[in-house]
Formats: sequence, C-alpha cells, structure tokens
Amino acid sequence: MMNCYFFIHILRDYNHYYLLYHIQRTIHMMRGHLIAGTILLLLFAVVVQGAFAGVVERSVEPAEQSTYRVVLTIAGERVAGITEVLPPGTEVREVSLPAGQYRVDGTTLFLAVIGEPEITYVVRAPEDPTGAIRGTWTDFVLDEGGTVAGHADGTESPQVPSAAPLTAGTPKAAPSLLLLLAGTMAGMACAARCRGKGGMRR
Amino acid sequence: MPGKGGDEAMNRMVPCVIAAILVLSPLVMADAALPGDLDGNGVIAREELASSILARLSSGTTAPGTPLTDLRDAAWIYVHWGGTARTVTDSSGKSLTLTRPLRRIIVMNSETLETMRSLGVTRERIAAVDKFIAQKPEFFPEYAGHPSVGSIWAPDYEKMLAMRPDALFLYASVSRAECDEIERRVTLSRPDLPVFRIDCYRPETYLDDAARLAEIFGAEEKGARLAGFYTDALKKVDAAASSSAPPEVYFETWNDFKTVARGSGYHDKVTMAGGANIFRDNPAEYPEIDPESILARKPGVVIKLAGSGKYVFGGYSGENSTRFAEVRDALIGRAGWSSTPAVRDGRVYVLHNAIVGGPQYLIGVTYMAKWFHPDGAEDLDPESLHRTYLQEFQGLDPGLARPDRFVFPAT
Repeated sequence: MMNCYFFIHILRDYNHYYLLYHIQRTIHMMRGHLIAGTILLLLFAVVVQGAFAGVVERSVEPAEQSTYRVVLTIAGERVAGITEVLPPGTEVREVSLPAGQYRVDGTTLFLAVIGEPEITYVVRAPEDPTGAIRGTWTDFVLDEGGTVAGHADGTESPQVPSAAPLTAGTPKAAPSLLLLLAGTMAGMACAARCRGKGGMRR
Repeated sequence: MPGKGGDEAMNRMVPCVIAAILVLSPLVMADAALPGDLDGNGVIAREELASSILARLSSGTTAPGTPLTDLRDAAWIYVHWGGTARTVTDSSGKSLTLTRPLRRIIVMNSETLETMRSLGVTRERIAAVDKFIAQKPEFFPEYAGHPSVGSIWAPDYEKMLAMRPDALFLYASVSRAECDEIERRVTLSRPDLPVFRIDCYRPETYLDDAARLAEIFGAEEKGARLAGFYTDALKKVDAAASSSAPPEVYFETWNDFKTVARGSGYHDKVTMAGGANIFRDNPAEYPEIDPESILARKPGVVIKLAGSGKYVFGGYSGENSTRFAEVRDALIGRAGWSSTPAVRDGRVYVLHNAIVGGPQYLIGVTYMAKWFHPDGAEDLDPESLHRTYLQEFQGLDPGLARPDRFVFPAT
C-alpha cells in the first residue's frame, strides 16, 4: 500500500522534493496511527477488564501444616461455574460446598455456584511447589464470564511466604483472548481507516 | 390489484414454506420437557442444576457435557421461575405453559412492546415486530431497521414462521378478528407455538397485563416497581379528581365531531381524571354527533385528541408542533362555540394520543386531571411524571417529554 501510494505521486508529479515531503509526512502519519491504534487497544482492554473485574475474586491465606485456604468471593447472586486449575502436585482437601456442587479431577477443581457469595476450599501444596492457581468463571444466566481475579487490593495475601506458589493468583481479570483479539482488530481497523483518510487528504 | 387466484396461490405456498422450515429446523419446535430436569419430575432441583453445571465444566476432561443452551435455560428457570415450568394466563383467559425462557419472540402490538421495555426485556429477545413499531424511531429507536412481519391487518406469515419464534404476542381485545386469524393460521403450522393475547392499553387491566408479562420474563421485581409507579401517580389523580365537582367535558377524537361514550377507553380516562363526559350515555362507544348537541350540553372543558387522521403532528417525532395552536384556534372558531363555558373560560385543550392511548395513559390522565381540577392539582406534575417514565422505565431521553409536543396550551 505504501509503495503504491508513493508510486502514484511519482507518476503524477515527478517532483522529488514533493516526494520527499510525502515520505516524511507518511512516516509521521503512520507513526501517529500506530500510537493511536495502540492507545485504542489498551483502552479497549482496560474497559473490558473493568467490566468483569472483581466478579469472582480469589484470596489465599496459609492454614495449618502446608495447607492453604483459598477463598473465592462472588459478586451478586449468580448461577455460575468456576474452574480452578491448581499447580501440579496440589491436593484439594476440603470444599465449603455440598458434595454435589463440586468435582475434583486431578488438580482441576470444578465448582457449581448457585447463589453462594463465597466459596472456600483448602489445598495442600507439594513440598516443592511451582506454578499458580488459574481460574475461570461462567455465569449461565447472564451469559458472561471471565478470569478469577486476585484480591481487589492487589496484594494476594501478605501472610503467605513468597515462595508459596498458591499466593500467586492469576492477574486481575485479564480479558479473554477473543475479546483481546476483537480489540486488536478494532484498533487496526481504526488505524487503517485513519490512514485511508490521511492518504486521501490534500 | 391481486385477485382471488393470487390469494389461493399464496395459501398453497404458505404450507410448503412451513413444511420446508420444519424439515430444515427441527430444533425450533418447543421442547415440552424442562431442560436440566434430570429425573423428569417437573422440577429443576438445586442438585440437578449443580450436576448439569459440573458436567458442562468438566465435559472436556471426564464426562459428556450438558448442551450450553439447556444449561442456560435451566439456570434461568431456576432463578426466575423457581425451577418449574411457568403457566401464565393471558388477557383472553387462555393458559399457556412455558418450559423454556422466551428468547425469540414476535410482538405485534406496540403497547405490549413498550411494557416489555418497562420490564427490562431487551431487543435481543425480540426476533421481529410489526411494521408500525419499526416506523417509530423516536420512541422505539432500537427497533428502527429491526425485522418486521407486517401488521395485524396484513401479516407476513411466511416471514413470521421463518423467524423461528418461540412465542407470538397479539392483542386480546382490539382488532380481535384479525388477531384470531393470525393465531389460527400460525398455530396451524406451529401447534406448539405459544400465542399470548395481551392488550397493555386498557387502564382497568393494564397492571394485570404488565404482571403477566413480568411473570413470563421473570421480571417480577421490575413489574412491582412499574405497578408502584402507576399506583402512586393514579392516587394523586384520584385526590385531585375528588377535590371538586367534575366539569362537563366534551372529548373529541381525531375525527371531527366524533366523540366517546361509556365502554370506550377514552371515556374511562376522562372519568378517571375527574371529568363528566357529556356524551357518556350515547349507545355507541365512538358516536358521531350533531354539532348542535355539543352546544346544547354547554361543555365546561373541551379536549381534542391529536396524533392520527388529519391531526398528525407533535408527539415523539415533534413534527409540526405549531399545529397544536392552529387546531385549538379552529375549535374555538367553530360556529356558536364562543358562547360555550369552555371557550369563554379558556378551557379548550389539544392532547396528543401518545400520552393517553396506550401504556402512557397515566400521563394524559394527569394532564386532564390538572385541567379539570386546577384548584386541587398542586400535587400533579404531568411533565415530571412523563420525564420519569421515559427515563426510568423506557430508557429514553427525558427531554422527549416536552409538553409543547403533547399538549396545548402547554402551560
């Protein structure tokens, strides 16, 4: 596209000074559009993140004998599913839900939320722990979902030793890949549109 | 002009199209079983819902999952209908049982759609509307360009069935023959399709109709809030109406010298506002009357209805609102009218049908009560009522409630 743009002007004007001016101007414009597109993408990600941030939050605190208590706080009364993927070697010891509302499959914990504002589970970490808990939630009534966020204050749990893997909750409600992709496309489309308009200007 | 042969050809074509649709989309047929009711006892229990959620979550690892649509419906039913099927009796007295939340409905009357909006039913659930709804972009901006299936007088059956609706909403009382025919023909092709007959325009049944819709859409809380809004507003109207003797009112529709009598909705609204309709005892609901008989009854207040016929101006589109004054001047200038108490006392008003004909009747009634009982109207603020209704229940710009677009004189 860029070559085509210059070629048209070369054919039309044969004016090298004019061409030089356009090269500089186009590079300047492209840089501007790139910045604008990036800002738009970031803004989009922030908006998406904000929309679902804090719906399900996780905090982790140490309990007795190498165990940790994980507390999931759920905003509003929801019918939802939560999947918690625990680090390798972690063992689920106790869940605050009735037996029929959770299922453990290896290091994956499935939770059926039916109006509970809070769910607690206790895990036993391996002796040499690595990794962090990753979680996702889906609300089946409102048809929305997201990532289980770390506690809203941004500090996972100060009591837990930094070496303990379970303290490292997932980043706060990162937008899903699909939404990020959509945002990227929107940003690129906007940048392309701006570039198109810029090329026509004069 | 299409002849009888054309109609017959159309009649032959419709079943073919319907058969094709049925063959191509078997899942459209309503499922009588409650989704997520694993033991088939007619109740989605907490344990069953939990089991479905876990099966869905773990479908990638251990067990076959529950279809997402079923799970979403089961969760919705558990939350909104207490886990059971919902039986609703419509305005015509017909009981219909729903085993799924409605997600693709066709609405053929704007009053019902307006009430649905008050209850928080959004565009995503509305597969199609009638053509008149689609033609009111100021009041129904979200339905401008939305699929339309004709009108109750000229329905597009082919399109209606092709939309694969899960329910159809028609009037119960007005245009009954046309709505009966639509129901008959549609259910002939889709016997499982719930057809709700709900009016949503008659003051005496409006709140019942709204409550029915609230039940259907699991919006009881919003329904209660709407009912409270109407009840509070009408209490104030009652207080004003009983503050002084009812004035003699001549109410004229958008057809000149056509009035209303007992049995018509407008008569009820005049009465509700504390007026005495001078033609209340006429045997016809909408009688055409002799101009002399108006003068003989010496009306103390005159209300002229605008918004249809040759009086299309004002309202939400706000077009040609200057015509309000022209219409009032023409009324005052009618032969012999200068001697009537209404003209002598400056109590001739023009009222737009948008705020008296449908669910917004309480706004028009509040304006009328203020005109009929000026000394007892200190608690009546129809403009504020209108603004609140638009903003809180319709999600529209309250600035649309400009009095000069709906009534004249506006002050």
